[in-house]
Amino acid sequence: MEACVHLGILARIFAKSRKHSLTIGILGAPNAGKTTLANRISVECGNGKHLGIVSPIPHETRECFAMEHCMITDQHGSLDLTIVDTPGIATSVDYREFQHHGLSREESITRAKEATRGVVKAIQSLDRLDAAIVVVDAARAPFDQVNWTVMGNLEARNIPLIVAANKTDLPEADPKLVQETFQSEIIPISAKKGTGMNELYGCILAIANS
Amino acid sequence: MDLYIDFVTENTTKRMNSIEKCEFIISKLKNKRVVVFEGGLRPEEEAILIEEAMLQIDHSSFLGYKIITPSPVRTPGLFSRKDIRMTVIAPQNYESLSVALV
Repeated sequence: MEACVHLGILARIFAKSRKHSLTIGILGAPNAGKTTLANRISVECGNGKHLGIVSPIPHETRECFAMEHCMITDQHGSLDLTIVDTPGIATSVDYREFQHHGLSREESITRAKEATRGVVKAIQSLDRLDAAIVVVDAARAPFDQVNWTVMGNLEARNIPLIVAANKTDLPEADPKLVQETFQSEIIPISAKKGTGMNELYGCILAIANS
Repeated sequence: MDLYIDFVTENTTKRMNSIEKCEFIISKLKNKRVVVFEGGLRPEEEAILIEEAMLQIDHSSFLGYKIITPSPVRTPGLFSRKDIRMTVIAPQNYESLSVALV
């Protein structure tokens, strides 16, 4: 919240020089809630349709999907946002995990092959982004090292990022732990319930102003 | 499953470029070795390692890896004090990376 207050001040200072459009990637580990967030932004700011399918099975999203013309508006004007929902980034893809979700061995291996290609596409998408939202599952500590990998790569490319601590609707969620772990300002959200979205939009606008 | 750990010093990898470093790690992982890597990897190298691993996963013997970078260890001494960073990388097939850290 504090981050947004600071960014909100910056937003007012730099409102005159705001970018009119921004491509923002939604990145993170599998099942962190990236597609739920993309759907939420699309429903609230885009054409009202869902961008992807949400599933408890990891690697449901295995391609990068973009939604253009999501409009975020404040008193200074509108920002035309392209959101890119990316496959979850992982260091391993174990087909046996899909079998635990009821898929046959053949289906699991097919899904695992698609998932490995999806991870590569997610990594390659970093070069095409103006900004990124790193979605961390606040209910699942210890947090995956790929989050540091993603953040480190964004910083190395000078791509501004927002850390969204998702799933705050779950009782076990601990956004403070996310903040302490990543030593970074975070935005607690529940993409599923829609809480924290105004703060998130405020941070996106602040990035457009910077 | 027997556990084999290779300690890799910075001296071993200092002449390797990022791709060579990642191929070196993956070859170790494919041979069922846990790699303790002095100096760790830069974020860009970790991204390359993920890409390389994804391309080489065969869905039978090599399923990727687990990685952990503990907080740096500070060596004692007044003037020679330095932070030593280690990264531990284990094949995914190990059920728990914590086993490798014991």
